[in-house]
Amino acid sequence: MIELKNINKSYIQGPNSYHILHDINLKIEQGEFLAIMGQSGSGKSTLINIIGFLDDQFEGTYYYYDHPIHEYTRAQFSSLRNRNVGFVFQNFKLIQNVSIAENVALPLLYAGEKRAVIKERVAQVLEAVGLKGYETQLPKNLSGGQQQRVSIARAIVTRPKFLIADEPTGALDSETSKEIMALFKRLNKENNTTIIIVTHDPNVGAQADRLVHILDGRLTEDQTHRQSKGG
Amino acid sequence: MKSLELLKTAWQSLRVNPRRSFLTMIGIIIGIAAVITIIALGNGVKSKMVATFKTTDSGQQTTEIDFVSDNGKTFGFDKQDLIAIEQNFAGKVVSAKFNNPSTGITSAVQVGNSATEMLNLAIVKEPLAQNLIVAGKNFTTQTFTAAKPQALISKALAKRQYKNISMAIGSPLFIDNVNYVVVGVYEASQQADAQAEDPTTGDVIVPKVVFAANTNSKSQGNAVKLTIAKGQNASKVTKKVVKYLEKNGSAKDKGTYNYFDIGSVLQQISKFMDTLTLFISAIAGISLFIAGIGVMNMMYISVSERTQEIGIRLAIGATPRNILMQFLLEAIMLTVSGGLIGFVLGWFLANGIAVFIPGNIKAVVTLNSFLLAFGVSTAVGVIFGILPARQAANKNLIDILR
Ligand SMILES: Nc1ncnc2c1ncn2[C@@H]1O[C@H](COP(=O)(O)OP(=O)(O)OP(=O)(O)O)[C@@H](O)[C@H]1O
Ligand SMILES: [Mg+2]
Repeated sequence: MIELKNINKSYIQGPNSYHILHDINLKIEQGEFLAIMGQSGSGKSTLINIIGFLDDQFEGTYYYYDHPIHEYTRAQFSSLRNRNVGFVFQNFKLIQNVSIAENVALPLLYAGEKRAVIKERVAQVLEAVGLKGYETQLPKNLSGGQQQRVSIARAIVTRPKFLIADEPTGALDSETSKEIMALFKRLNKENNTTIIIVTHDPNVGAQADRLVHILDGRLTEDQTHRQSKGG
Repeated sequence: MKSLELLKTAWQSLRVNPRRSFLTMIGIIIGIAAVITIIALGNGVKSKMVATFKTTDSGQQTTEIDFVSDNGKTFGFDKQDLIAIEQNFAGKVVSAKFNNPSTGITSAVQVGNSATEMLNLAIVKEPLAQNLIVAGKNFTTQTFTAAKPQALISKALAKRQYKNISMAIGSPLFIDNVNYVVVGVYEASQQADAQAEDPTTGDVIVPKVVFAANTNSKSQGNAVKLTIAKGQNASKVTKKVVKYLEKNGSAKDKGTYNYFDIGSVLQQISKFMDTLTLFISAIAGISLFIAGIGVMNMMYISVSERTQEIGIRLAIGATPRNILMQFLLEAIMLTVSGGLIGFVLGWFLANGIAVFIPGNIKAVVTLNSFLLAFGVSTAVGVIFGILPARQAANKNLIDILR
């Protein structure tokens, strides 16, 4: 599904260039549950921004199914993102002045869906994340765990092929973290949604089917993890 | 994204900060209100002019010359004058006719056996409203077709002359030695509005056919109505006629001929309005420009405050164009709301001011005024909203999401 070959990424700041990602090779199949672990500043966010069609400034080749993403322009990214990927962020990133239902509905609105379809689908995903009846609430009236569920609901509302979660449990206590991870697992099992999760919490990483480490912009596969999972 | 959703989104964003949104609108409201007010008044003056210079079906205008006699008795015009005017101004004046009033005629009247006195007389062409008659009968259509010498008198006059008002019925009444019979008594109107031409403001009412046939109102009068030929300057021609009458009129030494040129007064008001419109429009233009800068400023602030929101929207699939439209629409919604409030305010203001303008002018608000308010405020929104909206749309997603 996702195939990265020799991806290199540098940020240019003034006269200096910072080489962040070094020769990344990564292949992800449909239905995988992958965790990316690494220290702060190691390039995790940079990598998933590329995978999630947020960043088109990189070297190397990126095939998403048969699409040569490395040849796409930013303008082509919007609809690609809208249809294929759902994002979950550490700080939820909900729009504060609109209701839960409207937050969740946004991706469908941008996809040009009909009102009736949207309403039904929003109710469906809110129920799936255990937030039935919260439709008209504002984000600020919900707990952190609940807000993260809303953002997961928003991420899956368009039935994307894969989910990208950057530190989804970073702002949550361990109990709530478990609930959120259980939700991800369920989505992965039930819908066969590919899940790519970034974390530096080993407990979270341990729950993924597959684990990769990133150190100073270089990627290594965790073989012991793979064996322990029986892969 | 559907346009309705875009509208809703824009509305929701503006609602978050109602005070700021309103303050930003004030400049637009004032600018538009000023323009609408002045245009409405200008339209009022113009339509008043049109009504005043009401042309006949064939495109002719009419004017009136009045005579005020020095001793209050002599008539200003006779038949000879009219013929002279028509002859001397052939081609310019189509016709000159007496324009004698039907109410407020002062005439010597003798009621029953009492002494002759000067009374306020009115002539009518049809019966009065039946509910005004308090004793006796009203005129009938026959009164007019058969030119019956009948008269109606006011309740006040009847009371003055007879113990009981019903005793007035059947008594004789003399005007200019013509014998009328009192057939009814009416309740005089309380309002003394000469403009309304209400016959019941006077004491005596007689049929026009009878009165006109027996007085010299056909051969004499104090007012002349001129019908001006098509294409002529009515005011100029009438002034020339006045000059002519002052030299050659039958009563040139016994009073003055007056031509109240309402047209030239209105023209002056209209000219003044044109200048004023220009002046106010210039001020409104400046006001709208400053208001536009205010909108731009607010939109820039809004864009930078809502960087996160923009990032979220872009991440979940909004195109830069969606973002551009959202912010542009917000600006337009703001200015158009201001424009519409300004339009309504201007309408009220114009009606309020019209009361204090001489010449009974009414404010006239047209569809064009509405379209102007709508168009200008939309344009302000687009012009001053496009740059902040562009900035919002071109934000770097990676930077926002860090
Ligand atoms: N837009 C940018 N411009 C310049 N440098 C950047 C930019 N984004 C990230 N960097 C740099 O790239 C490096 C990797 O950043 P990245 O956000 O990928 O790290 P991370 O692994 O996600 O860290 P964390 O766990 O703290 O989120 C950091 O040194 C960061 O300073
Ligand atoms: Mg990061």
